[in-house]
Amino acid sequence: MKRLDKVKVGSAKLIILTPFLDVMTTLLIFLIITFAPDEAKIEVSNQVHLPESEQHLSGVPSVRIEVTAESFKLNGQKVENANPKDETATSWNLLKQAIEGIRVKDDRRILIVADKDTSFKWVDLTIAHLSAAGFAEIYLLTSMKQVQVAQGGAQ
Amino acid sequence: MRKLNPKIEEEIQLNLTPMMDLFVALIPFLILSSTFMSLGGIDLQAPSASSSKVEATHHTQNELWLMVEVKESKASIQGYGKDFGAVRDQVKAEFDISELEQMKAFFTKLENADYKMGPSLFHASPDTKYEQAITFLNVVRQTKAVSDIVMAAGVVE
Repeated sequence: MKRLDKVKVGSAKLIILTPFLDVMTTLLIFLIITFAPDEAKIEVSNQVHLPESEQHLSGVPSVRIEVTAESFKLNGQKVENANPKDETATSWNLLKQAIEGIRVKDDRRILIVADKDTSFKWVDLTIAHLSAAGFAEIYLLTSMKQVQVAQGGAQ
Repeated sequence: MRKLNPKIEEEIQLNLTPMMDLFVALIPFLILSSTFMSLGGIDLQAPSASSSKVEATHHTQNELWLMVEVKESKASIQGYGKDFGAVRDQVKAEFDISELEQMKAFFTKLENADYKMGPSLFHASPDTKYEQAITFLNVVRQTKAVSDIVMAAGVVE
């Protein structure tokens, strides 16, 4: 009697997942890197403490000015020899020239960053000069205020 | 005698279930949670840009334009008619920075009243801190009926 050949029991057909995992890993990493929101690109100096508000930033302008009583920073770079306290037009002209160098055509928006303890006078002056330079929309950067949910039901 | 010694082939299988759990559950969670940024902002109109825009819009009689003046920790609000013409004496208030809820209630009352609210002019004195100005601006901005906030900045030659 012929013995039946041994039959392999339980030999599962393996699904090769390696290419699938390669694609998925690469794709996910790519998506994570490219999907960063515009707000993530805003860098604020460590010494700047933003005031709080409950408003969301509705757009991220390409030009960002950090205003202090002593200096201006344009997109993170200090504008040399420009000082808000300068009563002459020199500092403001320097600032305007620096802005024109990086401004995106037809973008009339500007983002103002200032520490919460800065006098509003410097921000006001900056806005006045920027307005004269043609910027129509001013965005004041803040940090999001944590809204506390009212606790307790009706009494 | 033939020794029966069947070779039992052990197949080593890689258990991918935990890795798939990571991809399916953890990474989407990280993607979603990483988009929550803590930056906010208040948008304003610059003084020179606002004038042409304003003329093209509101033409109703019952318009209310507001002027918000902030001096340090106090804000005073005055209502005007169109183009800041006639003073509306019934729309006037003053609030301290500790009275923000009352200020919100005031704006809510204006929203519910029979006014067509136009742009608001915002001005802060030089003594005002940036934080104080933002606090009041935040309340004004929360009022949906206020279309635009225009900065009454200084005149530059």
